[in-house]
Amino acid sequence: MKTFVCASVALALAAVLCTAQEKPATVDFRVYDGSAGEAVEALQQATGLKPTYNDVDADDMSFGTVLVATGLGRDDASRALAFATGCNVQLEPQSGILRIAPPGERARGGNVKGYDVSVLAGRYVEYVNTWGAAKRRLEKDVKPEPERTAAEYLAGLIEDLLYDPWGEDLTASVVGDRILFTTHDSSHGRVRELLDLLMKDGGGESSDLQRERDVVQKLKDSPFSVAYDNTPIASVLAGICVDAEVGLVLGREMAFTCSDFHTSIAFSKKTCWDALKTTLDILKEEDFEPLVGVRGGCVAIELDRDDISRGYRVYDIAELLKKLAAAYQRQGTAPGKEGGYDGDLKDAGGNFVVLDSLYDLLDAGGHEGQCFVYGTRLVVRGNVEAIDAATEILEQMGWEKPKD
Amino acid sequence: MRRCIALALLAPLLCLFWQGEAQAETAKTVNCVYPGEVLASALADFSTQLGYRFEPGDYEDSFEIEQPIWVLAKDVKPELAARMIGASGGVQINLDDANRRITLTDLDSDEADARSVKGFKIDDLAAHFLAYQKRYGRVGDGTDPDLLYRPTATEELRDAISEILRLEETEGGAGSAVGKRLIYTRSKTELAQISELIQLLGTAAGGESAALKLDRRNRDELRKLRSDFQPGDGLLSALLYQLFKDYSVPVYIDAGLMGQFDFQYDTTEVTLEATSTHFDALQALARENFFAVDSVGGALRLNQQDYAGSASYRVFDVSELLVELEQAYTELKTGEDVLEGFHGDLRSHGGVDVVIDALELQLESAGHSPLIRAYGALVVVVGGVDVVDAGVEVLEAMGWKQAEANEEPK
Repeated sequence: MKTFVCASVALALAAVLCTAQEKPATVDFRVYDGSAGEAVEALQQATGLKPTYNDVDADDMSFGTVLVATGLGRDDASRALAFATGCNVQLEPQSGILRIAPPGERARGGNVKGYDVSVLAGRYVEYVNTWGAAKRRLEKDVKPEPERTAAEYLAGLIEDLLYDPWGEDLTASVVGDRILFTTHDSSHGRVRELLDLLMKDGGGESSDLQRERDVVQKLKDSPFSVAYDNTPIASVLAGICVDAEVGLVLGREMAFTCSDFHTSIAFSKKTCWDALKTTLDILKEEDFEPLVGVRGGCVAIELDRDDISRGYRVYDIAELLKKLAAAYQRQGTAPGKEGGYDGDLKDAGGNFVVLDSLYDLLDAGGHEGQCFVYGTRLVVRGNVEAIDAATEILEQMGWEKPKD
Repeated sequence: MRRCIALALLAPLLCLFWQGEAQAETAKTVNCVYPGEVLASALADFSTQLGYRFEPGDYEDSFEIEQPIWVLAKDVKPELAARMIGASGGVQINLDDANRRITLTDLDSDEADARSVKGFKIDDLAAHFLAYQKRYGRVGDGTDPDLLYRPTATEELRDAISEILRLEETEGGAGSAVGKRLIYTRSKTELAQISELIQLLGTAAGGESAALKLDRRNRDELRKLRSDFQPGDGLLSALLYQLFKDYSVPVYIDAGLMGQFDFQYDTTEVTLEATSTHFDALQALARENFFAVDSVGGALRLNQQDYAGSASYRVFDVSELLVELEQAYTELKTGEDVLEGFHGDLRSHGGVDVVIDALELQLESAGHSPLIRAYGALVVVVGGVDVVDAGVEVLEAMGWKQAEANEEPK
């Protein structure tokens, strides 16, 4: 009997230990106008990863930082830390290293992956042959640009679309119908996701965009009624985000400005989203331009940066192009008539017909969206509002949402 | 009579004694414990161990002889010891066995190893190059042909060998191309390296040089070591000594890299932990201090990333990959007269340069400074194990496959 009890106790203990080990480490940041070094230390203690600095020193991490968040996963924590410090922060759990490099610099390490893009490249060739715009006639003595393959166009799209000033630069090599990147796991994940969305019928939203949607919705769903008297704006923002149970991370410029800027403001029966906007309006009145995004599941705010949002949506515009081709054909008149038209979708520019209109209309609506095309796929990068506006504009052009 | 008998007995004994001493002389080894030691002191100790005189000659009171060196080796032959001490101090160390003395000369002095002439027939390699050129060679762009360097297959091979083994940086020239022969007047060691490279280029599927294989073994030895160590005040010199003090392989820091270090004050963030190996720590140290690691003459060498004097490389045969790429580029062709169209092929895209460019860019992205040279469809990646292994990963990401181990001459 004793043996049985002992064995049971040992098994239970082992089970508890196993559960404890399997539980993924989460990170709590409570850095309120402390140094960036404190934030690095918080990540180090929670994950056990050792910071390794490349072309930047631990002593350079003394600037003021605002990063308040609880229960972040490792990847989210590194993204939030990258935004707060402006540095390229990369996790290497296999080697136990947390790499920190200056903004835009490579953080060393990483691994190479070759992505087979033969199907996407094949579709692009098909698009160019079917809908592609006609080659422009070059003036005499103008040397034509070197031709690029479908895979090379795709590599350019990946580099531009996934560019992130708070992340790692992606440098592609194109070999036949393969695209190679040497980078860290998080960036490989983003490349894979984009290729999958480009392949998927109907396209779809990136996980970054979905995260942003979730965070905005949380802020919109949370009521907020608090009065602040002569309080630093950073504290007001942190109070709003804590109330909505989301993290807050300020970029370096914003953290510097907010820690000294005091305000008195009262919110009554507002949502956290409205309160956030109202608080940022105070900064706008002082000629600052704060822009909001989401990084690692936290509300991320920085001044004068229009590239905070890294979420995007891929639209399948193959059907729209068919409709447009038919529309252009219907508008064809008899040849040689004044006021007549004998062109087609190809002459009009192929997918550029959609891209140019979308870009102009987003701009007219005051949205900061970036638009890209790759054959029958159109991609818009921006915040939730910009993407929703783009969807509306496309629907007005005749694009239809995928049935599922 | 008694005296005669005694002499007769003594003679064989004396013979045995002399023979034993001569054998001890040839089998003599030395210990080099010079981590940050001044060159003059190290040479004094080295000569004492050998029982030689140290004659600094023109180097007496010179700046060079007062500089620190870093060599750690146990029971090594005097020749290897001399090479390591010299490479770390930036001088040539000459062992004059006849006069039992040690002298110093410049590294590029004529008193270096004796040179001999050797010719290599390269018919098969030339044929390989011509076949490559016919299928994938870049088409001329109408530029005046007289302005272009148009080497023959033999000259191209001579240039490739010169770049891979860095022959242009040492005395003896890059070699002479005569018909389908290459002629070199070089030291025995260099001729052996040239011969090895030509042989590996002619082997189906390529392969690793002996120096690279040795480098792999040397690294494996370092992987066996683990310890817990935090250098006092984070001193780099303390960490380096702890890293290698129990290492069975000779190790040295070359003169170029020595110039970067100040062993009295330089510190490091790297520490040793029993959970990881000394090799991991060395890699971290190399990343932190921007140096490379390879093996030369049997010893592990910490050096600036210039590969000088190294014959560590791997030859890759990418013929099959080029066949696949040729097909891929054909499939990427579009119709005529369309914007964003493509009408080229692998040849117009640069042939093997497509592979080289990608290899170079991706290795640079991983923090390496690669030296890559192609000869037809044969690609040579020069460097230590980490560069070459990273090169294998990049090539595999392109679709290249490791060949079966049946290496046969072409």
